[in-house]
Amino acid sequence: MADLALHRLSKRYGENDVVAGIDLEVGAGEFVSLLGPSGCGKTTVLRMIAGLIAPSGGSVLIGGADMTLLPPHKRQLGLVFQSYALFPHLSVRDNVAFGLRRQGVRGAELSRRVAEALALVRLPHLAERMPRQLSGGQQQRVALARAVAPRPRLLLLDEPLSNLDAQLRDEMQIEIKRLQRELGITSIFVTHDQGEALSLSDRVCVMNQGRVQQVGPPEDVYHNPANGFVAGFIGRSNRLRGRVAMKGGGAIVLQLPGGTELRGLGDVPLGAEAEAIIRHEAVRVTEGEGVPGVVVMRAFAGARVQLLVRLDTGTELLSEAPTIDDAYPLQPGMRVGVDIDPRAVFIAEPGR
Amino acid sequence: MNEGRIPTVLLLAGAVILLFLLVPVVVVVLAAFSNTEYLAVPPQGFTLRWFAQVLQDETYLASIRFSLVLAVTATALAAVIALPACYALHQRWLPGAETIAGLLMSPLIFPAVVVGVALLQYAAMVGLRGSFPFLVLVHAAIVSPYIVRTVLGSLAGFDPALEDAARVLGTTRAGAFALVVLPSIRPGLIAGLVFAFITSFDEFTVTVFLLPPGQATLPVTMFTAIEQGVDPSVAAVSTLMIVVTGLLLLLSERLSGASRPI
Amino acid sequence: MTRERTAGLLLITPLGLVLLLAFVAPVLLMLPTSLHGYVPGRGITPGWTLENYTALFTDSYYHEVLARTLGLGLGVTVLCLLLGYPLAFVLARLRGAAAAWVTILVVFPLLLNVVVRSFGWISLLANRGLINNALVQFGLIETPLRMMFNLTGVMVGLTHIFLPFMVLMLVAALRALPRDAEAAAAALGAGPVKTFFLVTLPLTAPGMFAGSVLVFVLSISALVTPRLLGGPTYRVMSTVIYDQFLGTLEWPAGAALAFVLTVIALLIVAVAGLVTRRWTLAR
Repeated sequence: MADLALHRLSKRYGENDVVAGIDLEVGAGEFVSLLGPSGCGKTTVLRMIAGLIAPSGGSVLIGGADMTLLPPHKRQLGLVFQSYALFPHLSVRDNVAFGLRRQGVRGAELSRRVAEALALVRLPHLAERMPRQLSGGQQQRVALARAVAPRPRLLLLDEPLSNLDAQLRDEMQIEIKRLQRELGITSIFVTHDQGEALSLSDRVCVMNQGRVQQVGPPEDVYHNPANGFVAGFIGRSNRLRGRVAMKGGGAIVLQLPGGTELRGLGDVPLGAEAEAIIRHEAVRVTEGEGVPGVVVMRAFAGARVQLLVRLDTGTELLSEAPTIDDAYPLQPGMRVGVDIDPRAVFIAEPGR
Repeated sequence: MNEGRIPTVLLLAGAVILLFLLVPVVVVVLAAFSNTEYLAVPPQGFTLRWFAQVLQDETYLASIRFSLVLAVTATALAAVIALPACYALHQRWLPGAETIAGLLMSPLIFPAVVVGVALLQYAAMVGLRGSFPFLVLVHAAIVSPYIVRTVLGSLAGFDPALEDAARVLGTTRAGAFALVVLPSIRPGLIAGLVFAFITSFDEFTVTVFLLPPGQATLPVTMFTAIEQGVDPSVAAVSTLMIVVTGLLLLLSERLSGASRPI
Repeated sequence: MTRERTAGLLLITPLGLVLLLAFVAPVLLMLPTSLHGYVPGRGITPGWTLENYTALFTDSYYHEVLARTLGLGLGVTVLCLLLGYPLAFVLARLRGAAAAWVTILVVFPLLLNVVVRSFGWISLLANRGLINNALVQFGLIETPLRMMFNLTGVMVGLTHIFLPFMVLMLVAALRALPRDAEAAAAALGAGPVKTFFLVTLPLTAPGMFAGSVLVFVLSISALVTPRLLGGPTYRVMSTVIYDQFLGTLEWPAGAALAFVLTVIALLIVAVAGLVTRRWTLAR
């Protein structure tokens, strides 16, 4: 049975559907990300799960029990915030003990559980500090300990990495994943950062404009986007306009201005205007055969190299390849052939 | 404004003006120690007898008690009714929260003397003339804007996620307010309470119209004494008030770290 | 949404009720009183009349009181500006402990009881007060100067009472100056004096305006200082109202005067608000 189930969950402010009827089931111990651009409703969904916002319609079931109308303090959840939200007037120990005390845990048992939670985030030595004496990364780890100490039924994480700088973010990402595995706790992770979502999650739920666009394992969402929005939002892509020249069996041939034909996947009526979304890494540039063009620009970024290629028809494409790849030695001005993997070309109606 | 040297002329002018602000205060304190029946500065001789006289004068003692009870109850009442209102305004549970907050400040813009006579007439009309509870209510209304202002200001700087965190961790809204919100806004709240207390204790213009017969607040008693003629015992009472006010100012400064109570 | 609105209403009701009952209702109930007559010995007459208001425009005594009140307000405002600006200018440039201490010294008189502060000025300005004693002692004058129960006393006292307000408003305005405006003027070749008149003064004009409005409105409605330093003879609107309510018991006339004072104060505040809004929009 699903640990968390959302049925037709919606939130409307006036005429504005912030969340427009969402269905989602999360299994026990699963780590699911809600991924989408800002304003897509993902945080609203999380706050409705927590009980901090009352839904306009639909229901929230946790462990099979309907919690839609239950206030947050009766739901036994853990929530980690972007701003850490540590209580500034309480020590680290008292912050972590806060939820336990509300459950009536006292005395030696309380001390043991606090120590346990702090050990889990590897900060047992900072118990007596005040939050303002901690670094951002330490604060977020304390927040994590505070959230899991009362053994919540769900762990909710609201953009917990966004306030950290890049290096810390990577460390915290691993920390969160490790903790979630050790505790086997069902987790919902809200983020706008696809990198975080893809690397942390068992499944990713892509949202846009209050609706679920696709739910699936990271590989699936990446390689088989359900629609144009997912294809464009996940990964980094070129976008080319054209007209559908042929279609059949899920494959489409798009005719670009200048005559180049591009094969890809999708479902757009014959003759219609369409947009091809081509991942940077699907554009292979070699000195050998392929659509002819010339390298316009080259940008070296450590492990990867980016090439901007202008095809002889005038179309420009960005390509990205590992630096050990054949494309590495190519320099601006060189004549090249471009080859595009049709399985990584997604064709959709424009603006989707 | 840039840092930099301040022209000497300006520094001097500033010092003189600051002196103008402080001279009456200093004069009163010095006069309180003078061993003469009239005010004299510099004091001629040194005596504490004016203080002793004041502290044995039942009129003064009664009015100090009266003022203290009035100011404490009015401040407490104002806090009890203002805090929930501030919370509701901060949460934006009501439409037009800005306008409502503005209305709650309105006691500040009415001339006090007008409020005083209006209340006198009203109290006479509804049979509350000289009623102590009514006076407390009026003082609570007068000082509430100061509490509303400081509390709303503190709440504006409060991270709402803290309250959410407390609620998800198992407290009710009321519990979260007591355990998390209140401790977080404490410095601002204390500054507001101190200022409200001082305002209530010092209030003259409205109070004078509403006093119960035979009783008076300290400022009213002093006012009456001054109108009847000036002697050093008034200076002694004034000195006591100066000292207490100074201590309260330093206290709220220490507790809130804010140097701008208005 | 509705639940929150109900909760909000419940939470705001106690304060709203207190303000309504102990503030708004009484002030509104003054209006009908001001429209009755008064006969000494018999009290308030039942019939409606406008004579309390017409008297304010026809009676030369009221003319004098009105003119004196407004003139005093204007004088105090100008004095506060002239004294407040230099002090605020210095305070705004101070840093660290010096700034904190000067701020405390400016705020302190503000918190001090007005009766105490007026008493301080009585000790200084009275016929047998410190200033006169000193002047006589040094042989500079024969008979004491009259500095109380007249314009001088009240003006000095009120300026002292309201100067801290002006200073704090001006300091806020000066500290809010765009950091580099003065430096830019200096870099463009303006000397310190020119910089002050071309940049600092115009940029702090809104602060000066706000401070002036505050001081003016507070001065024309002050009671304690005009009463103690002006005495029973040198009267302004508020002291006349005081006497009419607690002394002669001419409540209708007092109510009319109180109503006029309120209208003047509220009008000034409202007009100032409009001007300020225009000002901010124009920038």
